[in-house]
Amino acid sequence: MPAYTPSSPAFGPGEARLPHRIWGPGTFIVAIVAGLLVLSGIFVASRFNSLVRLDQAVQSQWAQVENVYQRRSDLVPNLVETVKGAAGFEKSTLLEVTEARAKVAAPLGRAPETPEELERYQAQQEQLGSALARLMVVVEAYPQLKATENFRDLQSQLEGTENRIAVERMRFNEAARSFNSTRDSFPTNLVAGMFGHRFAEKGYFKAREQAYQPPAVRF
Amino acid sequence: MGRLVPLALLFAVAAPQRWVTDDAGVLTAEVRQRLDARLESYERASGHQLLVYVGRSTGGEPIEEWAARTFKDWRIGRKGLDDGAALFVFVDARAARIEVGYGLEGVLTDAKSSRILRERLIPKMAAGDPNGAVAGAVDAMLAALGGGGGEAPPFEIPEELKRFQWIAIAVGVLAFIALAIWKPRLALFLLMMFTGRGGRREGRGGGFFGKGGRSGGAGATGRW
Repeated sequence: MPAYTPSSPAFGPGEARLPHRIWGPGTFIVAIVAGLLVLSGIFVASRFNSLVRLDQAVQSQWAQVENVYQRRSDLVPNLVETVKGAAGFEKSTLLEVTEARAKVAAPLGRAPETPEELERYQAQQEQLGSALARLMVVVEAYPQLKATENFRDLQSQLEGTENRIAVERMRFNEAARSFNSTRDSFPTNLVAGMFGHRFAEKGYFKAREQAYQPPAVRF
Repeated sequence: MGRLVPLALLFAVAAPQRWVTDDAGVLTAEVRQRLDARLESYERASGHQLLVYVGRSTGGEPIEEWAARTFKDWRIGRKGLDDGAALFVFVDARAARIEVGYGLEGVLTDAKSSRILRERLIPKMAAGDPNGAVAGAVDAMLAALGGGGGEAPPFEIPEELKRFQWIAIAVGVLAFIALAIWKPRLALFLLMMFTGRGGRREGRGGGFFGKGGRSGGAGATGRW
């Protein structure tokens, strides 16, 4: 049996060997890696939350957009009824409006998930918008109808709604821009990519609608 | 929303100090001050902010865009309630717009705004009487808002919040009493600071300052 020396273990061979230092190079590396993982976790969480917040702003602004488009759709039956009554009013324009309104799909309830979806939505709404614009142009030829208080109120409601649509669309574009510029910036775009389609790029409303603009009367 | 106007060329007006501002110089001092006092007391009574701005031109920008942007910049109306409205008149551009905040849309409707412009403002403007036009329009707007004497419906705090409000007040009072016992000088200082702040605001002459209201593009435009 070997003599006991300080360098050899105090217990016999075959028994567990305790490390003589806790903080060795191995644990140091583990600590660094763990620290990095925690930091990345925190970073990802903060970017995720930012994206969620900006996305929520887009969603709530989209609700406003759908609200004002719905408001316009709701005006149509009243408008059609009022105009129909006018003597000999050209039926085809009215029909166009009614059909365009029917074609407008039910509200999405959430912001479009792709730019293409938004384009389709915009196209449908613009059909109704142009049909209404054409109708109002035709009405110019019916001064008795134009002069009635009822029609004037409807006209002002329509103008007001078109203006609201313009404002809410502009605000939607602003919210979408905020979201997109954060989402696309480095390194947030990496985080966005991690979550698949959830943080897909938002589309924008393009250009101006063929909306009804009252003719500028100059005296 | 109209052709794009470069941001640098947008005609922006700094937030006004009074309820009635006349950059075009068409209103007499008497009319301006009378309307200003009326709108100031209306705000005091009802909390709603009603503004009048008379200018020469929007600098090429469509009046609807100018109005929406300016309304937001001036923060007309109270935050959350959005109970503000504005009458913008541009004498050279021969256009006027009533812009209504979200909160007042149901009362000062598009149809009413349009009618006010058509019946009260435009005939007199076309006839060369801007004072009568603006005064008449303001009267009509106040009447529509139910604010002849400022009895517009006050903001009702929902029931659940009322209970919470009492609890919050009770906690605040107890905390203040505790503070007064342990640190009487600090409590005295806070008391003076809070009442002093209220007094100082009054002392400023009570000019107009926007409270964070917004509009959604509601209202009406008129031209002559």
